[in-house]
Parts: sequence; C-alpha cells; structure tokens
Amino acid sequence: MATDATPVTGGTYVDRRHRPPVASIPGASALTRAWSPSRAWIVVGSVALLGIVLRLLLVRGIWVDEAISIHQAHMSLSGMLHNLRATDNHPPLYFLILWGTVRVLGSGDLAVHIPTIIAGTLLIPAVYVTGQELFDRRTGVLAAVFTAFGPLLIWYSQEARPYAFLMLFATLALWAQMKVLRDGRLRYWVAYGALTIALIYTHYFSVIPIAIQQVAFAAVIWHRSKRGEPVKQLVTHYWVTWIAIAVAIAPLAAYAHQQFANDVLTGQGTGAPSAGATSTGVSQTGHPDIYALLANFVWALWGYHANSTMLAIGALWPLLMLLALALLGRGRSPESMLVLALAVVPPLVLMAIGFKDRFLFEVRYFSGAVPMLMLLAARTVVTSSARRLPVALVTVALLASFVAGIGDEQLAKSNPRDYDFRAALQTVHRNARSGDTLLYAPVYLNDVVAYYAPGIHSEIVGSHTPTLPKHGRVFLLASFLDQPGIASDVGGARYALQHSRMHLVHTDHLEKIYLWEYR
Amino acid sequence: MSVGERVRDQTTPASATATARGTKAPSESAGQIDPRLGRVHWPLPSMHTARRRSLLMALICLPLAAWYLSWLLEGKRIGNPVLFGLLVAAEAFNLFQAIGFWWTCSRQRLRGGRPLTGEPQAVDVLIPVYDEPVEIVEPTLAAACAMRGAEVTVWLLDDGGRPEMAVLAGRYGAEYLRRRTRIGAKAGNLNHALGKSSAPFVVVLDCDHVPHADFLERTLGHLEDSEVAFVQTPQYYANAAGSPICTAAAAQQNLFFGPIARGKDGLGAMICCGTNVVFRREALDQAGRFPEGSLTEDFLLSVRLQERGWKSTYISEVVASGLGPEDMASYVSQQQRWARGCLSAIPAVLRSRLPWRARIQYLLSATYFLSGWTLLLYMSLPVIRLLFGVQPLASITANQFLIHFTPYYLGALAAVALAGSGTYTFSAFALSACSFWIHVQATIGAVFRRAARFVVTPKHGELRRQPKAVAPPLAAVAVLAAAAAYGLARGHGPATLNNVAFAALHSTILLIGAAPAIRLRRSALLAPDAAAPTARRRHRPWPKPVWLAALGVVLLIPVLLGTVGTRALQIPASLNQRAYRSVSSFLKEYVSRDGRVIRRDQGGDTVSESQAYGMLLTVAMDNRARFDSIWGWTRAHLLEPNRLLATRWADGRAVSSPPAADADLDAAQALVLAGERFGRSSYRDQGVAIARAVLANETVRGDTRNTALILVAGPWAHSPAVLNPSYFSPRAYADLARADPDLRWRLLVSSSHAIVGRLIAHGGALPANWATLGAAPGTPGATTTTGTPGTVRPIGNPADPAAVTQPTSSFDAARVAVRYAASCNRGDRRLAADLWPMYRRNPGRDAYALDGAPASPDVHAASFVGAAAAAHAAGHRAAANRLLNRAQAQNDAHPSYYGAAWVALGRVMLTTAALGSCTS
Repeated sequence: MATDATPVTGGTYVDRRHRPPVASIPGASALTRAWSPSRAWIVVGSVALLGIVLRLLLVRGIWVDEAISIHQAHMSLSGMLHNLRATDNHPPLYFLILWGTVRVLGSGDLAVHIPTIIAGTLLIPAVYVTGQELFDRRTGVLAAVFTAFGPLLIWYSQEARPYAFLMLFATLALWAQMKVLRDGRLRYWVAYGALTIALIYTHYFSVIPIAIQQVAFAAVIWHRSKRGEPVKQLVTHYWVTWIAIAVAIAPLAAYAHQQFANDVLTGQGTGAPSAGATSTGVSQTGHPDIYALLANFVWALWGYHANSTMLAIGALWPLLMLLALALLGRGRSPESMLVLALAVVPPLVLMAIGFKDRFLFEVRYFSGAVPMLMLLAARTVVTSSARRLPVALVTVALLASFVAGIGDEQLAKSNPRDYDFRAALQTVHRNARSGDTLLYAPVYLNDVVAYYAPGIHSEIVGSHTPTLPKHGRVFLLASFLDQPGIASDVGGARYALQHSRMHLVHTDHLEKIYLWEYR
Repeated sequence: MSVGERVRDQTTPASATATARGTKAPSESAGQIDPRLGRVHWPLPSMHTARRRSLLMALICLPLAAWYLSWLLEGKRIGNPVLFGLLVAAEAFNLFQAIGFWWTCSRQRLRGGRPLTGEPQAVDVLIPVYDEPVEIVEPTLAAACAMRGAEVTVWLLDDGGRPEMAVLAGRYGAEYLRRRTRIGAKAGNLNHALGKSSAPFVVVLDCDHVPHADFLERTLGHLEDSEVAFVQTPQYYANAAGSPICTAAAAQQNLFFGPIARGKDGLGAMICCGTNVVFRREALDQAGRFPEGSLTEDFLLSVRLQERGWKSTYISEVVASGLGPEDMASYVSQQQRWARGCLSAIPAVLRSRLPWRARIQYLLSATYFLSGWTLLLYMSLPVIRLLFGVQPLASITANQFLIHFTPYYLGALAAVALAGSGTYTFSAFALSACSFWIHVQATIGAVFRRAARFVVTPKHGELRRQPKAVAPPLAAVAVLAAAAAYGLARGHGPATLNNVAFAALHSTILLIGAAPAIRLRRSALLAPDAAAPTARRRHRPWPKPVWLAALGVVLLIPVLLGTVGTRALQIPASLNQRAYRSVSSFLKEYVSRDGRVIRRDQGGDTVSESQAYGMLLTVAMDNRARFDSIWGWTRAHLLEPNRLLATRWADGRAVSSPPAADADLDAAQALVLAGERFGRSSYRDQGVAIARAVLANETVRGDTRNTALILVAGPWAHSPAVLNPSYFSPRAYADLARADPDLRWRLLVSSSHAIVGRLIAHGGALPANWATLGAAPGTPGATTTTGTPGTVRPIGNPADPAAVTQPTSSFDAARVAVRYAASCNRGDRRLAADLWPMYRRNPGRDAYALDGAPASPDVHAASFVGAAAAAHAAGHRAAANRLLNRAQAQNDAHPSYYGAAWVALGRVMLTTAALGSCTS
C-alpha cells in the first residue's frame, strides 16, 4: 500500500532489504510456497473422509420438521407435490430427492439422512475449489478443513431438510460465477445456470445470494467497460443464461404463489413449529436485535448451544470491536468483498424481514452464508501472518473451538434444538401393549409420533379434553411446555387423568420432553 | 485503490553531488544503504473525491453520534454518578476530536508544488544538529547543498560542538556555526543562526531529513504571495519498512500529513512542523523568531505568525525524506516532547487572537494529546466493575448499548479508514493506544509546570529489548488481567464475562502496541555498531521512578473516585439514581435495624407482605447485610412450620392470621434471587421450600384446560376459591420454576394469564381486587367448590364471595399492572398494556369501579405506579416516567408504607434489571 517502498531503477538502494520476500523468512508459511494440486487434493480428500465419518457417527433422531418431510415423502409423487403446494412453504427439489431416497433406501433414521450427509460431505471439496478459485489453494484447503469441522454444517448434514443442499448449491454457484468471469467458457455458464436453478428450487431465500451475485456481475461489466475491455460476449452469455434460468423457474412461480397465499391465509409462517427452540435468537421484544444477530453469528460458526452458553458467548461481544480495529489498513480484494457480501447481506436482509415475521431471522434460512464465513475465516487466517507458526496456532485454536462446539452441540442435552423424541417414543413403543393409548402435545408432533410409534393408538391433546380409554394404560408425551398454550393443554390433560381412575405410575423427563405413564 | 497514486522518482542528490566532486557517495562510505535516498511512494487522492468522501462520512457519522449521545445522556442511564460523569466527559472529548477530524477532512485542499516565476532568490538552509551521528547528517547536508532553484547557503548549526561536524561542513562547502551556550535548545540554535544569516527565505531541516533536489523549486513559488509566512511539506519516513515501530509511526504520520494537514491547509490553519519547511524571514522577525521556552517551538511559532495575520501553506508532495523512530524508546521520546509541548501551548492558543476556525484547529491539534486520559478511563471501567461491582451506566441492556454505540463506533472507524485511504493501520492505532501514559504524564507535567528538557529524537534503532519504554502499558495489562481473573473467580455471569471481554480487548491492543519493544527484532536499516546503544542510552528519557509513581497515582484516580463515590452513595450497578433513591428511602423510613419492616402509618405493625417487599428491595440494592437482617427477622417471627409466613405481627408476637399467597410468593422469589445474587444456596433452598408450600397449600385445581392449577389468596381461600389477581406474579413463577423445575409453575403462568385476561376483558375492565371461580349464586351451574368451568367472577367481599357487594379495583389491584408489565412474557405485558386506556383517563385514583370510573376523589401513590406500569407496557415510556414521578411526589406529600414500597418496587421492576433481566 502507501508505505511500500520500491527499488530505484539501477540504483544503489534496494528497499527489498527491509521487507524480504516472505518465502525467505525462516519459518515462513507457504504463502508463496504453493501447494501442489495433488497434495491439496490428498488433504481435501482425507478431510472429506473425516467429514463423512463425523456426519455418520453423529446421526440424530428425527425432528419435527424432518418428520413432516418424511411423511410427505411417503405420499405419491403427485400427492407430495400437492401437499407441499398446499401446506408447505419450500420449493420442491429437496423433497423430490427425499422422495426418491425413501423409495430406494426406505425411511430408516440413516436412510432419510443419506442425501444431506452426501450434500454436506460434498460441500467440503466444493468449498475447497471455490476457495482456490477465489483466492489460492492454501485458503481453499483451510476452508475445506473448517467446513469439515463446522458444527452447524455437520448439524444440517444430519437433518432431513433442504439446508445442506442450499449450502452446497450456494457455494458451487459462487465457484461457477468465478469461472465464468475468469474463464468464460460455455461449460461454466451452463454450470452457473444449472446451479442457480437448483438454488431457487431448493430454497426461496436463495434469491438473496443470487441477487448479490448479479450485483457482482454488473460491477465487473461496468469496470471492464470502463477500462475499455470487451464485454459484449460476457453480456450476451449472461442474458442467454438468465433467459434459460427464467424458463426453468417459470413453473415455480404459480407453485410459490399458492404456497405464499396459503401461508398468509393460515398465518403459519415459515418454520413456525420449530421456532420454539430459538429463544435466544429473538429478543424479548419479539423483534430481531443485535444480540439476535450475535447469536446467529455464533450459531453459524460454532453451532447450537444452550441458552446459558449463548448468553455467555454473547457477552463477549467487545472482542468483535477488536476485529473491527484489526480491519484498519487491511487490503480488500473484490473477491473478498464478494464473499463478505454473500456472508453478511443475507442475514441482514432476513433480520429486516424478521421485524415482520420474527421466526424468519434464523441461521438456517441464510445457511448459504455459512460456507462463505468459512471461506472468510480461512482467508483471514492465511493472511494473518507471513510466518507459519502464528498461522498454525490460529488454525489450531479455531479448529479446537469448532471441535468443542461440535461436542457441546451434539452431546449436551441442554442444546435447545436437540429434542430426543426418538428415545421417548421408543420407550413408549417398547412398553406399549394392545389397548394402550398415547396422548401427546403439541399437535405438530403427529408426524414424529407416526414415525417412531407406529401402530400405537394415539390422540392429540388439544383444545378439547381427550377421550380417555376404558382399558389399558395412557402415555402422555409433551414438549414445548414453555409455550403457555401447550402447557395449559397438557395441564388440563393431566388434571383430567388424575381425576379419572388413572394413577401416575412413571415419569420420564428427557430435558425438553416429558413422558408420564398412567395406569 | 480509488485514489490516484503519484509516485515521484527521486534521484539521490548526495550521490549526484559526490559524483560531481569526484568523491565517494556518503551513503556508500558509511557502509550502509540509506533509505532516505530511495524512491518515494506517497499516494495522493483526487481532491474532490477526498472531500466528497469525508463530507459524506461526516454526514453519516454526525447523526450516529447524536443517536448515541442522546441515548447516553438520558437521566436514567446514570449508574455510579462519578463514573458516569467521567464517561460522559470522555465521550464528549472524543466526539469533539471526531467532529474536528470530520470537519478538517471535509475541507481538504490538495496543493502541489509551485516553482518561482521570477529571479532565483537567496535561501539560507538551516540544519541544527546536536549529537546525531555523522552518517545521519551527511546525506542531509549533501542533499541540501545540491538543491536547485535558488542561491542556497547551507548552515550546519552544531550545538554539540563536535569537530567532525566542522570537517563535514567543510567537505560540502557549508557554513558551520556553533554556540558557546545551548540556551533555547533547537529554537535557540535556529535563532542564533538567523542572527548570522540574511537571506529572505529560510529553510529548516532536521538533520535526518534529506531534501530532494527540487525542494526549493516546489516550495518557493508559494512564497511569491507576500502574505504567506511559511510553506510546510510532509514529513515522510523513508525507513517505514525498517521496524514495526517505524511502520506504525509512519502510518500515524500518513494520517496527519495526509487528510488532516490538507484539511488544515484548506481551513488556513496549517501548523509549522519544525522541519521540511520554508519561512519568510520577514515573518519570522515579526513573530520574534523561534520561541525558546517551548518544547514545540514550531507549534507556538505558528500561532504567533497567524496571530499577526500571516498565512500558512501546505503542499502535499513529498520533497524531503526522513527517518522515523525505529525503536520504542525513540518513539516514546518523540511523543513525550510533542505531547508536553502541545499541551503547554493550550493556554497560548486560548489567549490568542486567532480567527475562530484557526483557533479550533490549533486546539484540536493540542488537545489530541489528552486522548490518553480517555483510554485510561475506558481501561479502568472494566477493572472497577470487576473489583467493586459498580459501573457508570444503569438501566441498560447490552442490546440497547450495542444498538446505539455500534453504528457510531463503526462509522468513526470507517471515517478514519476512508480519510486515510487505508493507510492508517491497526498497528498504528495500537501504538497510539500504548502511548496513553505519555499523555497522562505530559498533562501532569504541563499542569504542574514541571521543567522539561528538549530531547532530540534518537535516529537509530536499538538492538535490544526495551521493556522499560512500555512499562506503564504492561502494568496496565497486568492490572486488567488480574481484575479479569478476580472477576472470573467470583462468577461467570454474562456481566462478568462482558467486562472480562473488555479487559481482554484493552489488553490485546496494549500488548500489540507494546510487542515491538518486547520482541527482539533487529532493524534492517542503519544498524549501528554494538557500542553505540550504550553511548546513547543516557539521552533516552526512560520513565523515571517519580514519573512511574505519578502514573500509578493517576491510574488509581478513577478507581478511587469510583470507589469513594460508590461507598458514599452505595449505589449498586444495577440501579439507576431514582430507583436507588426510592429504595433507600423506603429502607430508611420503614425498616428497623433488626430487619423488621414497620408499617408506621398503620399502627406500627408488620405484615408478611412488607417483609417480602423489604427482601425484594434489598436484593435489588445488592445489599446482603440488610437482606440477611430482614430475612432473619422474618424467619424468626413469621415463618410457620408449614413453611408459609404468618400474615401479621404486632405487639411482640405473630397475630393469628392465615398466610397470604402474595407475601409467600414474593418472599420465596426474593430468597431465590438472593441465593443467585449472593451466591448462597441456603437462601435458594429456603425459597424453594416456601415455594413448594405455596404450591401445596395455596393453589387449587381448576377444571378447564386454561385453569388447571390456580393460585388462591391463601390456604383459607380454597373453598370457595377466592383469588386476588394482584397476587399473581409471572416473574416470581419464572424465578421459582428456574430454582425448582416443577410443571405446576407453568400451569400457574397459564391460569393466571387466563384469569387476568378474563377479568380485564381485553381492556374493557379494570382488574377487581378479588375474584372467585364460578357464576353468581343462583346462576345455573353455580357451585360452591371450585366453580363453574371457565368462569371467573369479580367479587367485592372475599370473606363472603356469595354476598352481593360491588367489586372495585383499588390501589391494591394496581399491582396487577406492575407485575404483568414486568413479566418476560410478551402476552403478559400485553395484558398490562390493555389497562393503559383505562388508567390513562384518571390515573392514580384510590379506587375505581371496574369500568374505569373513579370511585374515590383521593389519589394514591401505588395507583400512580400501576398506571405507570400500564403505560410502560404499552410502550409509552415518557408517560410511565411522568407517572412514576407523580407517584413519588404523592408519596412525598402523603407518606405511607404501602405507597413508598410500591414506588420503590415500581421503579425497580419497571426501570431496572435489578431483580434480574428477562434473558438471565
């Protein structure tokens, strides 16, 4: 930058003495010692292997939203599409994949997670090639390592929902854009178009990163034309690709419109059933605030944790002031700015939308930004020092924090996202005999109950007092009791049970799930 | 970057001169390569872009600053008044500097070099030296002799009286001057030379600043304007890459000689910086030449010249290459001189007859060296909070602070980054922060007029660690680390972690700033021989013991102020001033030394409710001793074997009277909170025991899904169920559920919400004092047990729910609004908000009919508090504050135990997080 001295031509003074080439510094990192492609791919391959092992080892039970998806996947293809159109608010691509998976592999815990585990694992090499294309091979490798161990990335690799695909397609779309801008060959335009279509068919909020990419296209075209470089071919290919994209997504318009209309009509809101678990993501006022922004940032990098842990981590916000200061005087490449925009703008847009519908401001809806954060983290680490030791130390520290995040997220029962319906319902399934009844609340546990306790007579505890069986035992399963309406439904049911001939014989409290057995 | 870069190729003048004379080039003869002879890289932005950008940033940052300060200055933010005052002063100072920076940058003027149009003029070039090595002086002297564009006479002004300097001057044909005395240091040396020379223009060069051959060609043209007194040019550190210190110092210089100097020039207030400057002799003579009593003779001279109507000019091109401080001791020495000189000049600036714009500009420059005080304060705040639990702000959440502070902070950083075109770096900031103690030291020196010595900034970097030069920042890091460790040993709550993070932030910045002095890194430039550092060491102004002691005292000042202020006022961190006053007034008026809360206006008896209020208020006060005494008295005199509290105590004994659920609930809540606040699990256990007794004895089963379990007024109120809605306390339920996870608390939350909702009918009625379950007698389905499903009926007489008595809503029922407004549940708060339209019409009445019509002409403080709570819940914070003030005034005029208690509780529950925040 400004203070760099450069050698005088033919002069006696060579300023390079004062700032020797990085490679000549003893112990310097290989900023200039580029990794060979084969070495890099060996590392990325190993990391991907480790990544898939992690994702397979940590498979969780089915969660409410997943159970809905599995239930839909059991329908006929037309029935599922109709159901999605009428009751859901997601585009159909992921559900089609799940539908096919259920047909081929069945609907066991592992089977339904296979597509997302594959997508989550493919994200590792995808991040590598994107990092390499944007910056350099070293950044790509480090970003791939971070991706393999990113707690949130692991979490959504294990959830039978579209988010792992959203992250994969968003990353690959960025890679394709860079290839298009730097290489321009037709194959990359095709790849870019296909990935953009896949993104839109995976999640509606992918329009935000897609829009950012269009701004980047416009900026590049403007700069090139300002510099007098030819842009005609670029512009032509751009418009042709977008016409193809428009044709491909046209059928989605009516579908999306109906979903939106249904959503408004029912007041359901995207993802409302599972939003009860996001207590630290939204302030007490019910609006997104800076603490919610911090919580989402922490979730994005370190995964989901107990509310008390989130409060403790959130209290460390002054350290972010250090980050802001550390950015003073640092160079900014257009590539970094693009990745930064893809990492920052989607959460900000959703934060703004969150004022309208507070449940929408949540990391999974902008999960496409998480790989971008990994790329930025890798870039920051790689450029943090010219020496190997500091880079290695920072890398190890960050990885250690990710591993700690994985441990807490996956193993701590206090994780507000971790509802072990599997254990509770398997207990019921094991102990239930013919004539027994399972009562449950809230109503949206119906698909989870159907998945884990098929064949047991079950009834929802809701606005009316349930009909109590004349014979057999009654199991009462309840969750989300921090919501007064549900607590009061369950309280009513318990009151009715206690005032009938039933006696409470057993209670199980599985963190956020209660199970009472009456006889 | 978006700015254009003008890179000037500079041939080596000394080499050229040496070649012309057939001698060896000085840089080569020294056996070293001198960076001052290299090419200059000095980016210059387009003037319009720079101005537009700065103006835009100013327009963005000003509202952000106003947004932050207007929030900060709200009365309820005052925590510890002393610390608050200091914080506001620091923020005001920083804002003054920031506004000055934005203003200066928005007036940038980019002035290039201008050659003389007439005949070449005679110019005296003065190069003062003292003890600098020959290899430093020689390139400067050689280059000065080789300057083009004028009839140059170079004067080597040797205050060191060294023969080798005379030889050097002779070698290059320069005049050599030495004095018998060294009076006036550099200024005296220059004045002495002015007396011996006579050219109409005078160039002053520090001996380490090598002028370019076109120095005079670029500057003298500006002096054709007869009103211009001097032309200042940038100080460019050619050795910026030589050491981390110099890199950081160069980044600081780039900001000053970049947008700031250009802005000062645009405002006609450029300061003379002591070197690389051309003076008009006539102006110098008029101003009385260089002031000899100042450490920054250049600064004071500028003031005097401009007072006499002379103009100053700054050209943005680099026409001389110099050396910056290469090690920490050199940097400290330089900063000490600048800080002391500029701070000493403040009175002169204030007394001067400068135009207001120039005066503000001079003040901005001089007062910059007070900024170390603000950093000292910012570092002290987490230490004080961690050690003593006091803080400057009250009634804030981190979210509120971040919303107001972050935009201002980021905007200010962005303004600096943009104005400096990215040249101002984090290391420059860290080095500046690491110099905080120099500013403190200089202020003390200036205030007490301690004698200061002109110390020449050393020109070579040392080859050893210099921990003494960073001893004060390292001491500060030690204090911050110790405070953080102490805080973490005491607890891991979010507030502690937040202050530990602040301590870590300051420590990291200081350590990064101090690292080059601790880490041994040899300068690649001008490495002197091994003996040189020892020889020069006596010139280094190491911090002397007296200064270290003074600094220690200064570091302690905010701590002592905070401690003394706190002890004097006993204000806990969590309370604001008004809440503190109300609480302390209640405790003073109604609580005896042995912990009995006396209803002085009601015959001097005591009730369980009053004890519970006292317990809650002492928790809010963070006053463990008072809490102990109140709970001790309560336990000894009111606690019954079934763990509930007897209602009344009079004449030395508990009067036979059944417990009241509100007192039991409040006492249990207070005990649980005290257990958490004071770290005593026995309190929590006792609170849980009372809470379980409440669940067992003071609840009845409802029979609908919304009223599965109901809190009744006491053990006496089961059949028929008698309810007092003002006993329902969502916050108590939540706190007790946290301590004793029992589903029944959730059921109480739900049933209480439903019952209050039905009683107030979505804002259509005020809550009755009493209610029962079931329809009115005679109604089909009426029952005498737990009531008709889903029916809640206001009653007038709890002793006889069946009697036909007109129910009312008195100041007792106003507690419904307070308790629900303080709830963490949005739905609960909405219930309280629903009451606002009713209370708003006639706030504060003793009693109302349920339709909101006043049932009494009298007013009561507790009723005003209820109205305030409803306003607060409805989002009318100003109205809420007004009503709380009216409650306070009412109680001051007509004191009552109940009014005082609810004024205090209202303030605590509505305006502070002293009884816990909703996120804790």
